Formats: sequence, structure tokens, C-alpha cells
Amino acid sequence: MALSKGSGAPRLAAGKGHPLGLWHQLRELPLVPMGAIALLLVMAIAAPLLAPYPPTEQSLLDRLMPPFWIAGGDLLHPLGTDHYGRDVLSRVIWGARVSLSVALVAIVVAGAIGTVVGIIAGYFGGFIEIALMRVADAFLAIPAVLVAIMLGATLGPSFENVVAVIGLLYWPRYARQVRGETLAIKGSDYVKLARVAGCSSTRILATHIFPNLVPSLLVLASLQVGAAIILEATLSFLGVGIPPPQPAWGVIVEDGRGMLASAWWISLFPGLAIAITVLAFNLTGDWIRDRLDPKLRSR
Amino acid sequence: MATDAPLLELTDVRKHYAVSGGPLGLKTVGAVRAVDGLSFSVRAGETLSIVGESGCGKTTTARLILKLEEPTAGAISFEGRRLDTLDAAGLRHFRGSVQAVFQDPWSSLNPRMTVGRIIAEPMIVQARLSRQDRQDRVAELMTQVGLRREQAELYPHQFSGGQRQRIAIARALSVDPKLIVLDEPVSALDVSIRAQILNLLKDLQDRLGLSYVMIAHHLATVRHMSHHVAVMYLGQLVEIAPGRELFRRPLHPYTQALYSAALSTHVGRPLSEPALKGEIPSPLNPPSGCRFHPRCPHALAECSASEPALVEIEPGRRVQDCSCVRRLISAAAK
Amino acid sequence: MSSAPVLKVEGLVTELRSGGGSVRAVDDVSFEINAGETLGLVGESGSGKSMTCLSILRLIPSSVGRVTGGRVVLEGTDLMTLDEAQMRHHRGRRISIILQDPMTSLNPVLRIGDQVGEAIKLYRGLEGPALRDAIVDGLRAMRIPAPEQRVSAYPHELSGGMRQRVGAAIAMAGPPAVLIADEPTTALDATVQSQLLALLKDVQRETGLAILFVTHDFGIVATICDRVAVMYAGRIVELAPVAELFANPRHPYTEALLRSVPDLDVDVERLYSIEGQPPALDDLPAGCSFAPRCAYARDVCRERGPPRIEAGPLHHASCWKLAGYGD
Ligand SMILES: Nc1ncnc2c1ncn2[C@@H]1O[C@H](COP(=O)(O)OP(=O)(O)OP(=O)(O)O)[C@@H](O)[C@H]1O
Ligand SMILES: Nc1ncnc2c1ncn2[C@@H]1O[C@H](COP(=O)(O)OP(=O)(O)O)[C@@H](O)[C@H]1O
Ligand code: SF4
Ligand SMILES: [Mg+2]
Ligand SMILES: [Mg+2]
Repeated sequence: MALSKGSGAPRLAAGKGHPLGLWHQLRELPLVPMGAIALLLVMAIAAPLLAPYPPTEQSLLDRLMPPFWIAGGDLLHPLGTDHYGRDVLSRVIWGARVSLSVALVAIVVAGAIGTVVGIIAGYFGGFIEIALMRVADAFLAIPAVLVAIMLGATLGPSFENVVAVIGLLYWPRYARQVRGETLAIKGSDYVKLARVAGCSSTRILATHIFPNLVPSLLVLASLQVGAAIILEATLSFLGVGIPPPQPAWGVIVEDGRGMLASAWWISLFPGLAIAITVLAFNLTGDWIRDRLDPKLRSR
Repeated sequence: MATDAPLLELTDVRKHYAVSGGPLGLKTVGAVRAVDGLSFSVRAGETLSIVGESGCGKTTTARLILKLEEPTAGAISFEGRRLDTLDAAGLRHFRGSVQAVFQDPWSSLNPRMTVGRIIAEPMIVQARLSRQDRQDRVAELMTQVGLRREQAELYPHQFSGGQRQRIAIARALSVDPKLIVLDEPVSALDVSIRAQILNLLKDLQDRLGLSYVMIAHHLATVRHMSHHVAVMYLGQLVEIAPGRELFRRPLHPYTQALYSAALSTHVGRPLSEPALKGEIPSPLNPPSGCRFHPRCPHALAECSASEPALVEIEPGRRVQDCSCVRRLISAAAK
Repeated sequence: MSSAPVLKVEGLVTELRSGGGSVRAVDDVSFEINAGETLGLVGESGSGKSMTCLSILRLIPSSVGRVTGGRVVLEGTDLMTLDEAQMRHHRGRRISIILQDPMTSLNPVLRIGDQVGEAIKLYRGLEGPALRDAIVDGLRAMRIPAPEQRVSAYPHELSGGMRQRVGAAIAMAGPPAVLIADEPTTALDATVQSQLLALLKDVQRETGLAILFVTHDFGIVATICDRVAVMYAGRIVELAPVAELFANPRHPYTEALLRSVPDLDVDVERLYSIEGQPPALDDLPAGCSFAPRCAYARDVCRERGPPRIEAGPLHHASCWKLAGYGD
């Protein structure tokens, strides 16, 4: 004889959610990081509309202008210009488009590979599981940045190659997490009952296992977006990522590297953009994770 | 109600799990004999309960009956057809005829499905009824188990343990099964909720002619619910009998120990410590002869030598044929 | 049974943080236990049994809530007035606890002998060979077979019943005057359960221990308790000597609960069932908490809290029905 589990089990008899409940949830949202992400997405999507200049437009007359609040600066180039006279603000805005799309596409690629591998390993088990997980472990043991640089250098700088490199390096994390959770869900009573009801493996995977993996996949993905942005920036900075003159943030930081003492604004603003983006995604990821963990949820 | 051909029949069913060991865990070093030679049958409209200490193989038996696992040896038949040889159509029929309710109402329901979907799923898989008819059936089932039809749109976390168990029962009923396997259906529930669920199960049985295989620990509940009771010890049956008979006159020393450990709600009945020695041994290395002999207060030297067979001593009552049981029976006969 | 209670709880109130505000998990709980006596505390899950135990021991983490009222007098000392250092001196030594889950209450990486020894050393100041003997004696007193060998076992090497005995050996190291047992047998098989209950009764007979036994099993209550307190939604709704409670339950909840449990020796066609479910603490009904499920409820029950009625010697219940609904 055991007690019913979860002493604070919600007891809700009626169908409607409490109106105050929604308000509480809204108030608990991490508004600042989520706002930052929303802003970044707007920047990325509406870059052509928002940016005052095309990102690669050179204006040799306006070279190395400082931000507007510094003597010599001008509101025409609010964050200054670089040594080709390209508008830093415009490049940072366009950079959001490049960097975010690289990171998001790479994460989707990594997530898709990892999820498929993890589900297969966790659900079917046996030799397949052992083999797949050994491969994943081998990938995890590789020092990511070094390999990324080597691969990037071999494949040459291009959008597709950066996506491929990041995707290749990041899928094992998803695979491991998904495998573990698949194992747990597979052992749960509702999956046993689904089999008792006559569900096929496909149906069990699609309606019982996958939907229950989604929340934690989202957490991992939002935490990894930050890491992917940094890796992409590192590769671009080292010249093996996004090829210049495309304005990936890493590329812009690299543009200003030689002039950090005199024209610091070239590197600072894309650097800040990277920092803010990574922080925003990590905070949001943490928040989702806390929301999903019932132990942390009850305060 | 009860017809003569059994609905479910187990014949010398065994389930052994290989235990791996060695430095890499790749070598098989032994086998857990979770179920080791079970034979019993269940007839339509009847409840058979299985009792026994933790780890004696009750849940494994349930999983075998539900064809969630395949027996290592022996045969299980449902409506006269062996489960291991069912073709696709036969399997489909079986899945629509045998359902289950498990102990833990918190892990029995998919947290990301609405209650309506959960209850309808067996019907969807079995391709029964049209979408509209399914919805009507879900509403009907919910009323039948004491839930409100509007609650079909809610998710499991919005219900209490007792309500979740009702949802699980409604789902099990959705395909009009003939047999429901109940693995400790009320153990996880509050005392004041248990009677609700037990009454519901009994009413449904009376109304729909269902058979139950129920696993439970609380002997008074078992007595209240069952037509037959099977007592398991280390993967084997030691005694099986009509419920009343078993409790009126427990024959096997293990049944007696279980019975005397059950606490009556009668004040003043002294605490009788069962005359059992020690605790249940590991099913990895079950004792020789009668598996109960190391703990049995009446054990003789011969008990460790030969494995006692289950013999029928009265219609519907079988007990392991060991010396002390024989002594008891002959004493009673005089 | 001596007449002076060893433990006296008066008007205990414990409030827990919940959402923005707080809820009363223990609401005006009072009882006393004499030496050599066992008081049963029964109720469904969430009714506040464990919170009562933890409050008595002052073990409620401040992040969860705090005791906001009442006195807990142990052998003449009000525990609520002690500072933490003084409380530590009493806890374990004079009043101790065994918990439901024998796995989580022991440290998995320490040998059981060391865990028992730690308690004995702390409470009785023994060292060296004397300590070693005391450990073996402590284990033997809890009828752990071959205690000399078992001292070096780790918790996971023992069965649930044996772990619970180790827990009891630690709890009895003081030796305490009061033992709180919070569902110590819920996770055990019936055969192992009755062995443990018999053991506790024997220890009690030898030492005059006072036991507060938390359970939801009326079989245990009938078998080992002298008096019983029935809890519902944080309150004790009825308290009576055990024979009296079973023969003559006065509170409608107790009565319904007793009728809803099947009995080993009696056949009933249909169990009595209490409809509905226990209320959530943050959504308690006005008046009597049981009113929504009570067959005898009238308007007054839904408006004002019921008065406590003395139903006999040592027997009281809080219910409007017993007060003639206030007429
Ligand atoms: N998948 C498995 N692999 C190895 N051993 C197993 C497996 N499943 C069960 N066992 C073992 O088989 C035995 C019987 O287990 P089972 O779950 O049937 O017990 P039970 O009677 O249902 O116990 P309880 O009352 O605790 O639910 C146990 O010793 C258990 O450890
Ligand atoms: N750690 C905790 N944090 C918040 N609330 C808790 C905690 N533990 C218990 N509660 C709440 O306190 C109330 C009483 O719980 P408890 O004393 O554990 O009940 P019982 O032991 O009778 O089952 C319940 O409403 C429960 O949800
Ligand atoms: S006070 Fe009223 S509602 Fe509460 S138990 Fe008594 S009769 Fe029932
Ligand atoms: Mg089981
Ligand atoms: Mg508790």
C-alpha cells in the first residue's frame, strides 16, 4: 500500500483554468531575454528594412567614423563605420540574419540527426544501440573547436560547410539525451498500455515518445543555439567560417581585430551582439528547463 | 455467467531473465526465474487474484498474459488460441479483448494527450467506430466511470490519482474487452478513494461480464473482490483455491503465513508474528526442493530434496503436495 | 502507563508557502502521549501527518514553511522555545524518527555499522571497543541476524525490512523517550511488516518508549495502537482509545472511512464509499472541511467550523452533528 505520489498533486475538478493562473505564468516569463530574442529575430527577418545601408556598401569617404556620441561621429552612421566605410550598425543587423540562420539551421540539423539516432538507439536497443552510442561517444570526445577549424579549413569557408560542421559536432548531445529519455518513456506504463491497446511501434514513437521528448529537446536546443553562435563566430573570426564580406558577427569582429586600439567600435558591437544573443538564449533555456522540472517548479 | 471453457489458460509458463556479469557485462552468469512453471485458468465473468510477496513474479505474470513479454517456456491461451502462434488478425482480436490497468496512476497516462484521446486510443488503433461515434463512446465511458464528459478536453495532470485510475479504467473498457488485468489497481490510492474504485470494478464486472486477473497485496481486498485466489512464491503457485475457501482454511504454510500477517481491523486480535523465518530468497538461486522450505516452520529434511507438485485436493483447489500439507489435510479429514 | 505525558502537543500550527501566500498544513493540532503508549495518527495522504511529525521535530525547512503556533512539550521542555543548538541536543537523543522509505533515510555510501555508531557516539559518547559492542548490541536488539558481520554491509546490500531495522537501531540509539514512526512499514511486505511491528512493540515493552505511529492502515491501528487521532485536511477531527474508535466512531469521516475498508473476516456485498476527494489545502471549504463529502452535512457545517465535542472519557470529535447542529 503506497500513498498517492506527489504530495502537492494538482487537484482541479473543473475544466477552466484559473484566470489568475495565466497572469501568474505571464509574469513569470523571462521577459527581458525573450524580448531580446524577439528583437534579434525581427532584426534578422527585417534586416533589409531596418538597416540604413546595404551591409557591404563601401563609402571610402566615411572610413573609420566613430559612433555618433564621440567627436567626429555622425547620426548617419550611429555605430560608426569600418575601414572600408561600411556602416557598422547595418552590418550588425545583417549579421543577426547570417549568424542566427547559421546557428538555427545547424541546431535543427544536429537536433534532427541526434533525435533520430537517439530514438532508434533507445527504442530498439540491442546491438544497434551499442554501436550508435559508441559513435556518439567518440564524437563527444573530440575537441570541438579544433576539429571545426580543421574541417572548416579543409572544406573551405561557406554557409553550408559551417552548418555541416556544427551539425556534425553537436548531434551526439541530442542523441544521448534523447536515448536516455526514450528509454525512460519506453519503460513507462503508458507505453506498455499503448502496446496492450495494439499500437504499432511507429504509432508509439510518433504519439507517445516523440511528443514527450519535445520539451527537453527545446531546452537543449535553446542552450545550444548560444554555443553554435559562438562556434560559428569563432570559425568566421578565424577565416574558416562564413566567407567575408558576408557580415557574420564573427567576420565583423575579425574585421576590427587589427584596429582594436583605434577603431574599437568595429569589433565591440558585433561582440556585444554575440554576448547578448548567447545570454538571451541561455536564460530562456534555463527558464524552460526550470519550468519543466516539477521539483524546481513548486516554490 | 461462468461457462466451462476457460477464457485464459496458462500451462507450465516460465519466464527467465538472463543476468549478465563479467567485467564487460557481456557474459550470461545466471537467470532470474521470475516465473517458473505457472498453470492456472480464468473463466469468463470471474476474478482471479494473485497474491504473494514483492518480487515473487506477479507483475511478470501480468506482462506475460498481456503479451508484453514472451514466455521462456510453456503456453498461454486466450479463448483456446495460443498467444505465441497468433496471426495478425488473431493478435488484433487479442489486443481488443484483453486490457490492463496498472498500479501507478501517475505514469499510466501520457501527460501530453488529452483525456479524450487517451480513452479513445484503443478504439482508434482497433479502427472501431467513426470519429463522431468514438466521441460519443468516450463521453459514455466517462460517465460510466464517474467522470464528467466535459473533462475530455483536460490533460492528466489536472486530475487526482483516483480520477486518473477512472480514466485508465474507461480506456480499458473502450474496446469492450473480455479480460482486464489489474496490477495493484488501488494500492497507490488514498484510503477513502479505494472503495470507490473497487465498487466501480465490481459493478462493471456484474454489468459487462468482465473477467479480471487482479494482483493485490491487501488480503481483505482480495477476499472481497475475487472468485479464485492464487498464492505465488518465488515464481510458482503454492496454492490456488476459491477465495472463501482459501481464507477459511489456508492449507499451505506460506498461505498461512500471509494470512496471519494480514492485520485485521478487529481491535484486540493479537499481533501474530508470522512463523516465517527470514525473508524471501533471491529468484536467481531458488532453494532446492520446496522453494519455501528455508523459511517454513514445519520443514522436514525431505522438503529440500524433492520439488512438490501441485495437486488438486478439492474441485477448484490445488495446493503443493508437501508433507505438512498432507498432514493438515488428513488431520482435517479425521 | 505513567500518567504524566512524555510528549504533549498543544495547538500546533504549521504554515507552508504556497503560490503567493501560505496554507495551513497543520491546523491547531493537540494530543499527548504517555510513556509506554502508542498513539496512532491516521489520515489520507496530504492530510498533514508527516508535516505534524516534522513540526514536532522542528525539521521543516524554512523554504517550505514554518511552525507559527503552539507548544511541543517533551518531558517538561517546550521544544518551540529552544534555540537550534539546544534543539539538536534533544533531537535524536530524546525524540527520534523512522521514515517510510528505508532506502533514502540511510546514507548509501556508509557502512551501516558506521551509521549506527555515529548516532551512538553522538548521544552516548562511547568510543573504541565499547562503541563497537554497542553497535552490535543495537543491531541485535533490532533482531538483525548476524550483527557482527552485518556492521560492514552497505544499505543496498540489505532488504527493505533489514534497512528499516537499521533505521530503527539508529533511532533507538539515544535511547529516546519518544519515537515518531512515519509510515515505517508502508513500503514493506505484509510478512515483513508484522515482524517489524512486533519488534517495535517488544522494544516498547522493554523501554517504556512512547510511540507516535503514523499510518493510513486501520489494520495497523487496530493491532498496535492504544489511542488514535484521525486527521483530515490538517486537523485532528477525532481522537479516541482504539477500541472505542472502532466500536463507536463519532465523527462522520471516521465512520465512513472505517466502513469503506474491507475486512478479512466479514463479507459485504458492496463497500461503503465516500464520494469526492480530499480538499486541496489552498482551497479549503468554509466551515467544516469534510462538509462537501459528508452525508450528514447541514447549512451550519458549510458556514462555521465545527466545535470540539467530548464524546466520552479520552474521546473527542469535532463535528456539528454531535453538537446538535448548534441548536
Ligand atoms: N526485465 C527484467 N529483468 C530481470 N529481472 C526481472 C525483470 N523483470 C522482473 N525481474 C525479476 O523477476 C522477479 C519478479 O518480478 P515481478 O515484477 O514480477 O514481481 P512482483 O511479484 O510483481 O513484485 P511487487 O509486489 O513488488 O510488484 C523479481 O525478482 C524481479 O527482480
Ligand atoms: N516539501 C513540501 N513543500 C511544500 N508543501 C509540502 C511539502 N511537503 C508536504 N507539503 C504539503 O503539506 C501538506 C501535508 O503533507 P504531509 O504532511 O506530507 O501529508 P501526509 O503525511 O499526511 O501524507 C500537503 O498539502 C502537501 O502537499
Ligand atoms: S461538522 Fe457537519 S459536515 Fe462536518 S463532519 Fe460534522 S456533520 Fe459532517
Ligand atoms: Mg508488481
Ligand atoms: Mg506522509
